[in-house]
Amino acid sequence: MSDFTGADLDQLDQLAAQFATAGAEMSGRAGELRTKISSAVSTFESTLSGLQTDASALTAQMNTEMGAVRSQADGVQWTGANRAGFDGDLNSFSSAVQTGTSQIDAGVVDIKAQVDNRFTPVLGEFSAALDKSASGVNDATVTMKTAVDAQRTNLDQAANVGWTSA
Amino acid sequence: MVSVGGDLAAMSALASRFASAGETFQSQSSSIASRVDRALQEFVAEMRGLDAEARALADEITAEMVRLNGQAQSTTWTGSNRTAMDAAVAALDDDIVAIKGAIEGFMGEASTVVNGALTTEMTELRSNTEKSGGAALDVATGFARSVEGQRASFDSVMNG
Repeated sequence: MSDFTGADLDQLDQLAAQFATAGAEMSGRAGELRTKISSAVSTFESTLSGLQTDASALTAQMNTEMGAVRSQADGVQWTGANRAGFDGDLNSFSSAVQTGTSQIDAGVVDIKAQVDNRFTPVLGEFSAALDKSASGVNDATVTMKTAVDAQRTNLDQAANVGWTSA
Repeated sequence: MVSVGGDLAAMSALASRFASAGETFQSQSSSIASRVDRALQEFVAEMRGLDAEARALADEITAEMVRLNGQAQSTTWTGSNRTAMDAAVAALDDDIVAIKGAIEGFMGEASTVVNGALTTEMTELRSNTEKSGGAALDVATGFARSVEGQRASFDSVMNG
């Protein structure tokens, strides 16, 4: 049996304060972690988007160059099977360029989709948990403080009423 | 000018330009693939660091909640106010569990990335890029060989 009547108020005050501090600190650190994850994912995706743009620019550059090569070929006095072969080669080259840059683009889209599929739900879960804990920590702190204050009042009343001086 | 079959100097210039385009495409597409690879490696390294950070935070949270709950249990306090505090502690526990759940969810995904979840896509991208770059270069250099062949045929006809 304890020597206390109802509660050790100093201990309760400390406990309430420790819970409030710990809850806020954990939420804060989890929030920082979420920010770092979000930043890492968006930096990576932004880099990949830049590389997709580079792949498209490479296609455009090659198309322009092939157009120029074709024009140059049209200005050359050249007939026969080898000329026909050249036209075929130019078409094959354009096709290889198109295939190559499309594959780069498709590969990057695939990687981005995988990253999205993995981390978008995680970041959403973080946001929901942090929003919940932000109000939860506050509610718990208020509840604990209210409980401790009420207990303090009860004890004060118990200790300070009913005394009759001689 | 009247040519029989072709203007060899002009065709040589064309062959040279074509071959140069092939080399440009191969080197630039390969460069893009390398930069995708590098970006992925950096992302994986970052995930490895964040995964370690998340694990440490999850362990700390567990230890702290065990400590605080133990302290709450050992606090000498009875009655309805104690009941109210217990309810508040339980609610806070739920919130912290939700945060831990999010952290653990991240750890799972980060681990798969660190352990090579995106490696297959990257390998495929590199392989495709090498193939198409090589194919473009083969076509372009093949044309140069054809021009040289034509030049040799002319030379043979003209000079016996």
